Amino acid sequence: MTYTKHDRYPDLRDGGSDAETARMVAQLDALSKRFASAPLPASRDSEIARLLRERALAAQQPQARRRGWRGLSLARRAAVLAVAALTVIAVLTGATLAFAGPIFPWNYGFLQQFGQGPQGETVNLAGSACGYTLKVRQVYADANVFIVGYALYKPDGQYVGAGMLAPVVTDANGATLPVLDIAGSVNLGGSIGTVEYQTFDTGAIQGQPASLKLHLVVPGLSFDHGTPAPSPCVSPASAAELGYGAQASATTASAAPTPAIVPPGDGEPAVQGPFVFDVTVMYHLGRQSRGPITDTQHGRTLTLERVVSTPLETRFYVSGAGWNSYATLHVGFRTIDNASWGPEGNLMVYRLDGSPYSYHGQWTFTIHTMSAAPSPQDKQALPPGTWSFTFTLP
Amino acid sequence: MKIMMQKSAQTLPDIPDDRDASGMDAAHAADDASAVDDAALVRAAQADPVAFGQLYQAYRDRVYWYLLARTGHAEDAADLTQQVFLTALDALAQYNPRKGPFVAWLFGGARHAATNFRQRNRQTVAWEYVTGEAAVATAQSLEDAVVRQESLDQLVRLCAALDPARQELLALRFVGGLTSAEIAAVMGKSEAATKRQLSRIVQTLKEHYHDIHEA
Repeated sequence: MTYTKHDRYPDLRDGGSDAETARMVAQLDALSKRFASAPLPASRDSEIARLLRERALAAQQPQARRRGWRGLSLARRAAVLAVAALTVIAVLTGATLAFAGPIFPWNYGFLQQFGQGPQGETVNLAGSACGYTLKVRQVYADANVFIVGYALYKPDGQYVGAGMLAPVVTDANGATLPVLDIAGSVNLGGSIGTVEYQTFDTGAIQGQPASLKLHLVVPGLSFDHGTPAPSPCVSPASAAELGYGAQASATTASAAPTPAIVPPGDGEPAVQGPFVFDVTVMYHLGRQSRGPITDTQHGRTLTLERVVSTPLETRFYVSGAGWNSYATLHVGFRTIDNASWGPEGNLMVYRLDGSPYSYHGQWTFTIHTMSAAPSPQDKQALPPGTWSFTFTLP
Repeated sequence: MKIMMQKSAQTLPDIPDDRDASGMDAAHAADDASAVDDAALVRAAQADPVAFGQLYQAYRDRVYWYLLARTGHAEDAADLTQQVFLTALDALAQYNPRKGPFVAWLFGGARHAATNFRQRNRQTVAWEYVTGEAAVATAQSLEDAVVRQESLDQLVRLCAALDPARQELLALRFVGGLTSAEIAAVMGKSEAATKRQLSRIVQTLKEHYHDIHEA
């Protein structure tokens, strides 16, 4: 019997796998096919499709009836003017619009290498709360990300699986590094157990420091499920106080009450800190472009403001681009077209993991307009066209 | 949680109709999720609601199967599927890709509908709904079919014995075909915690399965 279906579930192989686990995953996969063997009845399928179409067409009609400004009632004209005025005020006062905010959640496929390779610095910092010890095992920082590898240990010193809740990292200037995501985990075995990797965005770090002094506050950690050991702690905090799934400020974390085991939600227990660490980590600048490059097509100018390439990912910061775009990168004989993108302030940032960092020579970065209709909310939507930027990175 | 968009094609991608006889693997289309440019489809649907039909085509089966797993009744699952997609169409303007992938948003609605249904009907994940036809159909021999049938029946019982939260995780992962990251977005948990929980559930099932066979 083969278990090729297991390949669909790489997330279930974290920390290693064995034949029995593979067999169980294959069995669950086979079980799921029993459901999949019962398709939505064709009559219901066509009925739902019809209902959706009717509702969609009905939603279109108000738009079709619009006849511009003159077609609006006085009340609606007043409302439109009020919204426009508020928008102008927001822009003039520098208020942050909903689009702002650098958020790039992802996983790095390289973590197996990172966990065991030379890139991460072993630090072995420890912080304790409620009898539990959180150890920061590894750290890494470059011009794109800061990664912290950690593991939690029970009062008896045994490893226990747990994930950080709402960690906060601030730099020496007090600026908070945006939380990115969990990059994965690596089972280092023995008494160390599985090290989890949490990532933060360093894109806003200024200058070329040789190292970063960072302050990490972890308000709490959630266990997989179940409280792994009886705790003498009382439970003074509610789930909301832990900020489960949300960002907590360092101030809040520092003012947290007595450490305790608390259920943050769905009955999933957590150990509450705060666990506090100060860490100095080498800063890898990577390869960065020297200046902006512009390209104008169809009367629209896009500017490649800068490129930051590190071994983990490469980011292209572009002004003038809208959501209705995608990017390709030609390096040597290779074309990379799996960029993801999103806005960061007034820039559109395109990023490639599986970074072309090691590729020297000429790079050609091209932004293309998607043929799909842009969102009406996309104020920077591009007209049809392509914009190319050719350069070399030092 | 996947927030950034992934390009897969310059134009709106063709959505394959995976309702063919061998289309059971479509439940695991999440493994190929990057092949479907959700972001482009969502933008198109936000601009023109008629385009929402493509999202329905892309996700109807996965949603239906998940709801089938949650309700145990084909008719109820179909009703809820209809409810989920109509609600999603109405609420599509509120969907913000910065808060998570579309599939997680959609399954969040499906989960909500299923939870309400369960509260009304006092049901949990209906693993026992499934029949053994699939196992028999793919077996190499009658003996093989019997063995597979017994194994899957055993697993059905083990799954049914799990607490509802764990059953739901299994339903989202194996029946809905969501990735751990997408499930994390649905459940409002960290991806690592979700992965760990899923791995732990598999280990638990494995141990109990082993125990049963050792007994």
